[in-house]
Amino acid sequence: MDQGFNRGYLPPRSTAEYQKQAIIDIFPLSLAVIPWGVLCGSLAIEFGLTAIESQLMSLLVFAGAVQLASLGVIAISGLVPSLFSTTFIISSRHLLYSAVFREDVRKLPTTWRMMIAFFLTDEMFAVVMAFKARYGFFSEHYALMAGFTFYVVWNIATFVGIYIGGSIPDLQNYGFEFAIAATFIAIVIPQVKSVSVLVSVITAVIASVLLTLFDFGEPLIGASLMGMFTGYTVSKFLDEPIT
Amino acid sequence: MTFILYVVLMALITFSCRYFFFASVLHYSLHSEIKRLLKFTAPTVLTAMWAPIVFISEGSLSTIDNAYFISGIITILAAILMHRTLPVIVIGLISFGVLRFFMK
Repeated sequence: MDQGFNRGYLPPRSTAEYQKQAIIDIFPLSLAVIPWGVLCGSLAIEFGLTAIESQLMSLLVFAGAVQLASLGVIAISGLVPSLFSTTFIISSRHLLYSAVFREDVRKLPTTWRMMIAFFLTDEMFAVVMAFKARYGFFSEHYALMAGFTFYVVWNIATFVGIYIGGSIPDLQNYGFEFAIAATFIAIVIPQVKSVSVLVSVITAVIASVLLTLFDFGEPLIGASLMGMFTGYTVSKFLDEPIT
Repeated sequence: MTFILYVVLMALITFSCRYFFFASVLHYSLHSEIKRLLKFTAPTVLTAMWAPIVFISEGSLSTIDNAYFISGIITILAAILMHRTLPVIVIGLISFGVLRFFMK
């Protein structure tokens, strides 16, 4: 029955243990995101936003890619409709995460559902999926603490960026993105347990690289959908069980 | 002040995307074929994020002497062998740090 799950892992026993585990698991991703948070804060100041507006972006919007892109849209075009359409396009992948967690979150009270939705980021999704792959179930305490930890780190980083303003060193040169890549690799590879998932991952690699190289559309969304549909087709063809 | 309004509207958009399928208005349970499709979300979305970091550098394919590429491969191999998240991340980061230090 539990063939699919890694043996040797005992699930946390109390709420506090779930929360502790969540903080540990999201830690590498929180570290990796610090430079981007600092960048968001300092760029916002550089683009002429006030300190309050800059911090509110991280406090309310809480989406790095959206925040950076919105500064670009404001600076280049100043067009408000494109600000909102950009926000939607970049956020649309969260619709998928929301659908994936649906069965687990749906039975929770509204406040819990809203809190989990508010803190639902790529990073939270990644660690919660790794948790599910390891133990075979969803924990709302784990999910909320992972999301909340990430939120706190993101906002402190933004605050630092606002504080030091436009005078930041060239953070892109330090290779922080590699920490994100390493963490996602470490989370994805153990989930490759069937032919269909292997095919979907290989498709996503090829598609994301090609779409990025040729600067075609939205590489992230395009490559994800291609990988998902290829995996689905293979899974259907091989008649794999749905788990 | 208007910008704060924009920020609030952007926040509403990001929150709506995250909350959409949690809404209790949608009563039906997801069709099993949709579940089959959604099973591939995590591996593919996360891969679509890490693959360009490892395989692309400055707008073209990473060359074989690129630190991101080599450490990426090392991390993938470590993950295949170990299946444990934290040690794999540590191995990946150490290899990246070492390579960056010596390849300057």
